[in-house]
Amino acid sequence: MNNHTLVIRAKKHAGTITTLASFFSRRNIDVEKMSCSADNCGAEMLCTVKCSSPASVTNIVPHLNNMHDVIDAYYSE
Amino acid sequence: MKLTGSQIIVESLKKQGIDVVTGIPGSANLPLYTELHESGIEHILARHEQGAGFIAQGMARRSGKPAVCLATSGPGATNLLTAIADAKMDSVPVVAITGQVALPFIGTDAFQEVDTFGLSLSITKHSFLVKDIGDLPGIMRDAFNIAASGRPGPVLVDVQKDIQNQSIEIDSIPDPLPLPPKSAPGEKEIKEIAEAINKSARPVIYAGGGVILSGAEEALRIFAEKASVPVAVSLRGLSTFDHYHPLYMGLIGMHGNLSTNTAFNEADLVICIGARFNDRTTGNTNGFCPDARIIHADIDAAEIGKIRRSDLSIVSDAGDFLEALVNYSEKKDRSGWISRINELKKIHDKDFQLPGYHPLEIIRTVSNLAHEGSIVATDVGQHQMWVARTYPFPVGRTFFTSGGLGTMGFGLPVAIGAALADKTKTVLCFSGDGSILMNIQELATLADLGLNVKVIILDNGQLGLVRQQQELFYGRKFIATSFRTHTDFSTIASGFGIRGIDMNAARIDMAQLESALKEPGPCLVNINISGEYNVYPMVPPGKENINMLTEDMHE
Repeated sequence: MNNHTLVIRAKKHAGTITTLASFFSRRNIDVEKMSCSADNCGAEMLCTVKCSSPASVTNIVPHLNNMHDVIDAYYSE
Repeated sequence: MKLTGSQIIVESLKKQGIDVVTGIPGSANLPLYTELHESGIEHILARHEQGAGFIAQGMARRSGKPAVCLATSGPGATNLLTAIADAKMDSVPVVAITGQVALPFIGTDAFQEVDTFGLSLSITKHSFLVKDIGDLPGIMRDAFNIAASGRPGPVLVDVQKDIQNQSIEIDSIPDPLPLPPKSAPGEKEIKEIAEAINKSARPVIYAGGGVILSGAEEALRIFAEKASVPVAVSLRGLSTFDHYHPLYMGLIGMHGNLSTNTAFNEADLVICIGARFNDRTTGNTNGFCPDARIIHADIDAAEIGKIRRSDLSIVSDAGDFLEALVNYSEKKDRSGWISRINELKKIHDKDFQLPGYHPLEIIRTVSNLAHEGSIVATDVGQHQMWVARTYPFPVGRTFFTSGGLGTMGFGLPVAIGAALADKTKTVLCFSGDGSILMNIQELATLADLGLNVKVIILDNGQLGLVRQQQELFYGRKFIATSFRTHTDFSTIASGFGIRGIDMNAARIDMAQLESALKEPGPCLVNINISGEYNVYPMVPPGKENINMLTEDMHE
């Protein structure tokens, strides 16, 4: 498991990326790179988030999964 | 049928069973307010949007159902934010609907334009920015579902003014979504947890607000009695357990009982239910229950292992967890452990012969004189901790305090909201002279409504809890904690049209106090107390719970 890199599948609409950016900012996680592409005929987007340091000392995946827009999140294999 | 955006919002509120909303109108939400005019939905006009947010919280906290607050764009929305953040921290289902400037003005620094959606993102459970009227019916339906489902929380819906005015043809307003089914606790996990409890010699329960949110107070009592496990509570867990029950240990943490913190230090098993190991509860986490195994049951998977690693954990609603657990728990005789806790209570929680003018005695007096079953709200400060330590709260949704965010100004509007949600009860609002001034304008709202809210101010002429920290931890360098002038709160109350009474703690007129507490309608009682009292015992910030400062150490 690579806890520097997260893969997030989310509903695609105006504000999803802002919501994700806010999520990382609030937890003081430095994001080195976030790349998102449309998926599922544009209804969803798939984001890869590379963090400068391990995403958190605790597992932040459940926190991401709590977000209404997030369909699934996991650490990159 | 053809409906405007405002009509969709109002009809959605009706579909969700909302019959009272609170807020303040302004330019950007006037279309919505116009539609409310003949809707049959009662509107409570707050005097500040933060007050409206907290009134909605009071309704939601008492009823357990989502409550609605409204604000206009710009300052209306920013004024709401503190109440929204507070609702997030304490898991309160509030739906905030804000007006936004019309689409052509977005991004132009228009009058009363602010990025409400962006500002709200980190303090809501979810935020919606409505950009297409076609999305509005579904958004309104989802907003209530998100607020109430799982771990509750606030949802913001920001609606541009032009969308409120636009029309759309729709078949019907969507019915409320059923709340997602709660996943049944796994039998294997429950058995493992029950086995650990059955083997434990010195178990303790640490119950939090999740027990109240789940309505699991009775399930907690049944389990605790069967397994003979003593129960302590977090600040948000107060009112989960009978204050006079022999297994009750009271408050744990920074201003908890020394006996409770000591018992946790000696425990070999902590069963945490619907709580989150907040720093005010655990003190220095590394020293929290050093010899104990930890069981953590919470509805929110994100809380498991967030602060304290647990040996056994389960993602479950508190009530479902307790009802399943009791089937596998053995009836145990833990009289030795319970005797030890009673011994700790005798050693550490000495029932000081306090003079009648001590704040703790005043709170006891109020609890004795007030109607049985009264609901209690507090502001934030020394009075909050004195009430939390002393008041014998009836079981179940009877104590409302700003536990997570610690918002001064919380008490009065939340008390109004609680009284709106349950007009059969008297609501006592304990406050301080610092806190009450942060939302005192809501006395006007209270006067409008004539509710049975009794505001009791413990007036020590200062920001007492901050002064206490300056005294104990900042070399007695007192700055900005003492008020130079004394505010005449009873006269202020009269100015708002509310009966105001001023008393000195040393000369309390019991008959007058009792009539103030029992006569129908609102009342404000200001009780002048000494500024020298501290809240004891206290865990110094960053220290382990076992290292409590006590009154005899410092006075």
